[in-house]
Amino acid sequence: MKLKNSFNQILKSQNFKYIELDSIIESKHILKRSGGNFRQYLFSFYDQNFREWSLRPDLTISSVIKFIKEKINDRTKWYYTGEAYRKANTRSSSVIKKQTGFEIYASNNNNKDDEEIVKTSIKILKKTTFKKAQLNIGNIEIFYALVNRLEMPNRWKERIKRHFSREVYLNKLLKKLSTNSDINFEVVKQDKKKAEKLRKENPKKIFSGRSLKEILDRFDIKNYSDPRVNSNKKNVKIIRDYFKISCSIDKAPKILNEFFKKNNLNLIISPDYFPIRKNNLKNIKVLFSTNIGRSVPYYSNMVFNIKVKVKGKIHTFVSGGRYNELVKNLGYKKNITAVGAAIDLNLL
Amino acid sequence: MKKDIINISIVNKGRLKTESENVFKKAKLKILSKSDRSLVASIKGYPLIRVMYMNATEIIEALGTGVCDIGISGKDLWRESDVSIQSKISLVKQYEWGKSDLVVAVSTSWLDCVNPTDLEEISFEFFNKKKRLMRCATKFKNLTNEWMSSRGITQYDLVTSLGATENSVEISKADFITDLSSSGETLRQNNLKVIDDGIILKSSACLFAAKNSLKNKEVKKILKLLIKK
Repeated sequence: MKLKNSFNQILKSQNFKYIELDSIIESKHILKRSGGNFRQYLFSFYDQNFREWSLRPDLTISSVIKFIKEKINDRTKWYYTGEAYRKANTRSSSVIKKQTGFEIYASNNNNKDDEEIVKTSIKILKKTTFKKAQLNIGNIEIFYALVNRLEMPNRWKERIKRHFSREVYLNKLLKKLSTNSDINFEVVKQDKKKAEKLRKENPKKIFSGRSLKEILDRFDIKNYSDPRVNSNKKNVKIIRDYFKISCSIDKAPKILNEFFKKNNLNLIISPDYFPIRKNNLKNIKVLFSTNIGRSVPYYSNMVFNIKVKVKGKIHTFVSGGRYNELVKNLGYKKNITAVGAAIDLNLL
Repeated sequence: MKKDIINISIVNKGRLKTESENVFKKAKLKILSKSDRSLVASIKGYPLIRVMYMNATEIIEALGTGVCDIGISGKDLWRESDVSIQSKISLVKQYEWGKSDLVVAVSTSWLDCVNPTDLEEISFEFFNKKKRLMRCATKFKNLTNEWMSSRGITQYDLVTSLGATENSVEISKADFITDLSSSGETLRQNNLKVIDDGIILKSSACLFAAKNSLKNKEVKKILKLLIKK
């Protein structure tokens, strides 16, 4: 309790305003707008009007929904404490996640606000009894830029970017891409013949919710204008090698730039790109990693976490990042940037 | 309290009923039924065994809730049942009859949709263009969700279909379906095709036992007779 109060004091002193979040969210906010990613984690139920509601699976989403309801446009700093309820993948995982979260919406200066969120997390960490910690920083934007530079069909670039946060599935996709194992050339031949027949029909005709034009356009892109080429093995290797990069934060720009140069990717990372550039912050080792922030589907740019040791095991005490698309994806008419972090109170 | 009666459930109609009764015949367990329509029977020489004729889904529930000890039903129904039910049932033997595949099928006119990777991409385009999720008609919600998730497909809604699922696309109730298919003929008749890697589950009839009942020596004895070739 004392610790939680001291966390709150830090947040108040940094001008974060305390807000209360709703415990339940109408499921459509999660499913219809941001897609079905969260479906598997939801505890949901129906009201008397057959509207589906869910216990909040994530405090960030609740906070964004509140932000949208209040129609705010200016830079806003919020913090909140509470429980999130999520179905767990393993029996040992708890379905109740106690968290304190803090966020900055509508940043005027993204880099400065990223730095503020990371530094506030460090201040909170210092109030705890954890003696040693490791701060890992990454940036999903670099991955997106890398994928955009690769020579492969656009739809595959989008697909790979879309599944950054689904590690197991992304690996399956990369395997398909490198081996073309999902292409049945005999079926393609037959389908090309069928396509010629269908071209004679009205392009506006609807087949299972899609117009014939939509179907044929995508068919043509897949098979004629933007087919898969043989160089994908090389591309897949570049992506896999990228995910292996992990180094001290001060060396990250140099190592990344060497990697991009070696692979002719025409990308440059400037030395002041990351919110923290020192390798050591009094008992906190700072590393750059390409492989973090991969379990949260809405992160889009800077991501970070702080790892601590509890009873001999490594746990994530703070995790956070920037999610510039989420506010719009959840229904706000304007593009509002956002960055935030969540502290795992279960570890205290 | 010691449980005296051993309850065995088998399907109450159709080919599954005949095939299930054959299993008993082969095990030299003669089912004694008062009439063709009687839903409870006994076994000659085994006064403590009761045979109950039930709907295939109810057999799974009866096994999971401890109402019956042994049952013959479909693997698809077992795998589809809630974890709380599924975890209380043991699969003892999978038979070579009652076979069908739970498949993902789309319109034959969707020439650009050949495999799950296509379906995933189409579902995103669909959502962006039409501002609604693609609808999948099924009576196997759990198995479908599991398969979709393993193939990276997240942009869809499930629509419950308890029968004639194959016509859901034709009547615009859904944009694609997951359903059981034995020969694929009904799918073809309804202008649907199974996508590559679109078999969610290969199902057939199975002999099940309630896990708790496996502690009972008499249940074990009956199972031994039933799995004998």
